[in-house]
Amino acid sequence: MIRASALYISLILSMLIVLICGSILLIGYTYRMEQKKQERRERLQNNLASVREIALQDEFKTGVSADLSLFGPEGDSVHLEKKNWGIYELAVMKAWMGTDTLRSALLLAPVLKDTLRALYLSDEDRPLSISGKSLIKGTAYLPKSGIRASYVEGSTYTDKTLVYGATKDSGRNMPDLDMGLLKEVTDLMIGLKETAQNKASFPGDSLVNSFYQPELKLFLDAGHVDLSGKIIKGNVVILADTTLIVDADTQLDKVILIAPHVAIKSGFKGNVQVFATDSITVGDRVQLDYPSALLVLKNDTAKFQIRIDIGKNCKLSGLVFAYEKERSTLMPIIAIGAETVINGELFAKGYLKFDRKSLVQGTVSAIRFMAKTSASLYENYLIDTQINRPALSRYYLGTKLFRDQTLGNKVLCGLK
Amino acid sequence: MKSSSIIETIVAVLILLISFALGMMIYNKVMQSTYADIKLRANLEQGMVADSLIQAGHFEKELFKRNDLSYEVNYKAQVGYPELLVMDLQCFDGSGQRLSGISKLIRRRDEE
Repeated sequence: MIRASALYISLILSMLIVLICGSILLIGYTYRMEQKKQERRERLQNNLASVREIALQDEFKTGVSADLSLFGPEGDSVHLEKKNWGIYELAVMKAWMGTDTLRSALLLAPVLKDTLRALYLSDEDRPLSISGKSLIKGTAYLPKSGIRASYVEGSTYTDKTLVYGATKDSGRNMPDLDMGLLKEVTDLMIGLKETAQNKASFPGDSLVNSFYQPELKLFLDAGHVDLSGKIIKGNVVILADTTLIVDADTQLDKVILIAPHVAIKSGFKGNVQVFATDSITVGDRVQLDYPSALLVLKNDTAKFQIRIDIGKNCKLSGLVFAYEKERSTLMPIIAIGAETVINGELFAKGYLKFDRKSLVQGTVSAIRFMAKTSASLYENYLIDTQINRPALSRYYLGTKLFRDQTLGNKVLCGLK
Repeated sequence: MKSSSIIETIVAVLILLISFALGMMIYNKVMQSTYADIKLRANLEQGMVADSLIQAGHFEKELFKRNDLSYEVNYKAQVGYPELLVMDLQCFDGSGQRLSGISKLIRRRDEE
């Protein structure tokens, strides 16, 4: 017999059924939404990967910013901006679909064409002399007069093989450079006062600017050029018209410094591109992580010798570069301190001076070498200096400054 | 209350029937609208298949099967970028119904 409370029981049961069904509906809807979201995310990631391939192509010119439709009319809108960031290229990409957006910022650099080139010494009709515990490993481009073992201050060349690799004839001139990029860098330095948006003291203790934001140029006035204790990260260019001082407690990450003279004090560790018109001084035990760069570019009107002095026990990864347009009697000089290790490229359109036990894992190019001992200064001598090209990481990427020596672009690193 | 009237009983049974019917309808709708397992799998697998094809490095039109899913891949040149190809990968079930697809730009140099 059906009880009198059947109606109430059925109502309660119905409510339970409705609640269960509602829950199922909600779960199904959430699951579907998440799935759609995941699908959109995958598609945007695909589009970002595709636009990254476009950014790596030379056909997409540096300095261009454009909206692109990748495959068709729907769901493949991307934005790509490519510009120079010092000696490297910066690509800022965005892919969007409705309100969903994914973005990415990358530093691009070219692959080196010749992965064995260790040394290039201009032909000035005199040979390269090698002494002590020196080593040349890789292809050496030498003057026609060649290379010879020499006896310097009681020690001779300790090995029997002069070059562990092929030797080729060098030319009278240094390898060609990309004059377009060089001019752009030079213009940036010459016109630094005009391009600076602010002339001020440093705002607070830290300055962090994302690469997704517009470039931040800060022109420091003469009283505030000491960056001791400052934290500077990202899309920031620091300019000064006097000496810019970077201390051991300065934190720099991917920033650009431009000044006539930049002094990096002993013990500094960081990642920075430095552009100077007079000189760069690097103290002892400095560590510049890849991709870093030290460049001194001589003004056409300057009548002095531009130089880069690197102290003892330093570790530098990237490019060290000294250049003058027209060869002068006071040629640029790069001086490498004792037991300093350079991973990357050394280029001096002038002198390259090595102290004992310095090591280059990469490529060296110069008009003349210098070696200093306690008693004398020798020209075109390598004494206790090692140049080892195969020791450079196979993932090392160059710069478009050496356009003739490079192939297509690759991604150097991601940026925030 | 000692017993229920016939009207009460009919109302209770009707309410229960309507609730069940509604429940079944909602359940069916959710099951139909939610992703089928095979479609989900196609979505998850297509990225891996595309990467494998790029790694393999010979960029020609191809039809192939992987488990119970069929894939069709086509390539065409990307206008303005001679080094790039557009890879179009489509995934179908056993009856030929399209489940998913992706397009992406790949480097022709990878072919070498």
